[in-house]
Amino acid sequence: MHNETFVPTLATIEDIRQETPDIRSLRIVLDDEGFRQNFTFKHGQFCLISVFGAGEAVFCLASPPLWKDFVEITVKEVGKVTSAIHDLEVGDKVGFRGPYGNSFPFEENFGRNIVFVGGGIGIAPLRPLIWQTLAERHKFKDVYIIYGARSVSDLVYKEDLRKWASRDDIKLTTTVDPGGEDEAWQGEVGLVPQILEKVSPPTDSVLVTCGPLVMMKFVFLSARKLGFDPNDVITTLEMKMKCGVGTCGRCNIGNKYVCRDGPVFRLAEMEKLPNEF
Amino acid sequence: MKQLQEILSAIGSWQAKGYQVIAPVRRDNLILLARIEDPSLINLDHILTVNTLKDFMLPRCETILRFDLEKACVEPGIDDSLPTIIFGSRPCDAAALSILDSILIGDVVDSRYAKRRGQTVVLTVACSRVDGACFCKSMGYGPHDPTGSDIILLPSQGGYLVRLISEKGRQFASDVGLEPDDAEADPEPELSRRVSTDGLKAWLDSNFEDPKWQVISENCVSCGTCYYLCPTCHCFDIADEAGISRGVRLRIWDCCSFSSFTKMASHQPRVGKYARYRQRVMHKFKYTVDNIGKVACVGDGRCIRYCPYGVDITEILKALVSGG
Ligand SMILES: Cc1cc2nc3c(=O)[nH]c(=O)nc-3n(C[C@H](O)[C@H](O)[C@H](O)COP(=O)(O)OP(=O)(O)OC[C@H]3O[C@@H](n4cnc5c(N)ncnc54)[C@H](O)[C@@H]3O)c2cc1C
Ligand code: SF4
Ligand code: FES
Repeated sequence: MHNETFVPTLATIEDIRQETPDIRSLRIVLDDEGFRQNFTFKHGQFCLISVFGAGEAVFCLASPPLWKDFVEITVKEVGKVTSAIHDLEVGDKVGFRGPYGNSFPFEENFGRNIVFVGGGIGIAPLRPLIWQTLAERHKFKDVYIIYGARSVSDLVYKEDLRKWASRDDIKLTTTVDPGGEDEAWQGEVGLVPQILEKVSPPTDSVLVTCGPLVMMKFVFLSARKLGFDPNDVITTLEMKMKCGVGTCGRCNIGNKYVCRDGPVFRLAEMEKLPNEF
Repeated sequence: MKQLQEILSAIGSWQAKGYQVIAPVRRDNLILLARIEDPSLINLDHILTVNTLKDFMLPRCETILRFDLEKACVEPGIDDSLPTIIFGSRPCDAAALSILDSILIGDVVDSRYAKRRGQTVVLTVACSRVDGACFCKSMGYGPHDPTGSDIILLPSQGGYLVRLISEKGRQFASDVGLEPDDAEADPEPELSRRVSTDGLKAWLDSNFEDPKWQVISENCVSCGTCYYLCPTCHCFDIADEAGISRGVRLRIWDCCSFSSFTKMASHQPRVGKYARYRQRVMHKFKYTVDNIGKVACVGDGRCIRYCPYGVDITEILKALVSGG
């Protein structure tokens, strides 16, 4: 193995799941045996995936570290690299760099209620933490998951949602935007922040959220309204990235580099940063 | 004390030991730092070269990797780092390298930069003249400042004194038989341009939102000249260039003045020229101070000399901290 900062290691696509019309999840296996066996990461970290010729793009590691031998990423098609990823097939090679960034607090929340609030593909970075929390379920009080998307067909991780719905130790609420429901829909209809206020989880909980920027802004407002401490509201941010390691100068919000100092931030920290995200 | 000619005539023997030499040479009407074969072409008449040392440590465009999809092969771009002597650059440019070192060889090491730096000896020729754009003193450096140099030649009565600054410099000097001198150097030339940084950091800390940002950035056209010529600007892009199955991944200088710099599919956090100019000032005079304890400006003055619209960073810093 080389030790060049920006040269990825090769990996092979082992499985592809089409989540929605424009989102797919890929299961990726690192080719280098030694690297694979020593590979670990923390929930909340991200990686850079290369499609050689198209370029490199940033994705959160969307499977929990406790699933060994592979990682999953979930990709929404928005441009050059993400379209190239959508053209890949099982067996194709990609480049992998990572893991990078900080991670969600975990142990410090033992004994507390945890509320996950996700919107659209924004549940991807929460997924490793959700599975990790469920694996150590007895260490937490109540676990809430509030997840919404524009329409029923835009909900990702339907298999996970089924598993979570069937457990009685999770309070799962799914919702779709008004007009996004179909005849079979049994969940809520309404925007995620409204549903959060309706569910109204106890405010001594830890709230972990990710979704489209507009949704997050309203989730923060709702969390404030419900009385959450901004130290207990945790999110993961997206900024344009290239290097992933804090040197290309691109992803900063004030003096914080989202790639190196983030992507996970507490609302209390964000409130101290300039409003540039 | 040594005569310049003595030192120049030794350069051929450094080259013979396998060092590539980078030095100021005249190209048309510009004096540029470039790799030289013939030491007699070295030109030390300049105040400051147009280009900076980052050209050689963090090149404008470099190949990070090559790939061949048919062979499922990805390999790092060739390691072009060579034992290198930088001869005749100025103290501000050496100081800039020390800033880049703190950023690029930190917790995370930029491997390509670090390899080049590790093999480079910086032999600065201190300034006997300055021009109206120089303001290194205001940034805490000066015409004879040794920061970032391995060896510095200080002007003295028409000749030069050799001062060995770093361990690397001492090593090189003993390798090539360059003796240090301890006589007294000429006084530093006086700088006419001054800007006080008193209160600047405190102002930046609390005035991200301020109408002055709009005003001070009005003349800037976001052309990027000041970025490309700045010795400490180091932002870069990574992009692939490929044919059907083979290609390269390049690292290329990029610039925070361009709106594409932070544009995402989901949103654009930095809307407006003033916001991008603010990023440039904040990055240099606040964020880098917060992160590595140094201002990312050495007062070389290139941005003032070469901005096509007369944007003057020292005037801007004064305007920011002045009341009203
Ligand atoms: C920490 C982090 C985690 C992310 N996790 C996921 C994820 O799990 N799933 C997912 O689908 N997306 C994720 N993204 C967003 C994803 O990185 C971008 O959608 C992707 O880089 C776009 O690349 P592209 O080549 O397809 O788009 P391009 O063709 O380059 O451009 C499309 C648009 O995306 C912008 N863009 C280009 N490169 C980046 C970049 N590196 N970061 C952000 N925007 C960019 C362009 O400026 C343009 O506006 C994440 C981003 C970050 C920063
Ligand atoms: S050189 Fe002048 S006009 Fe060009 S980006 Fe810099 S300040 Fe703006
Ligand atoms: S992605 Fe390069 S600095 Fe963060």
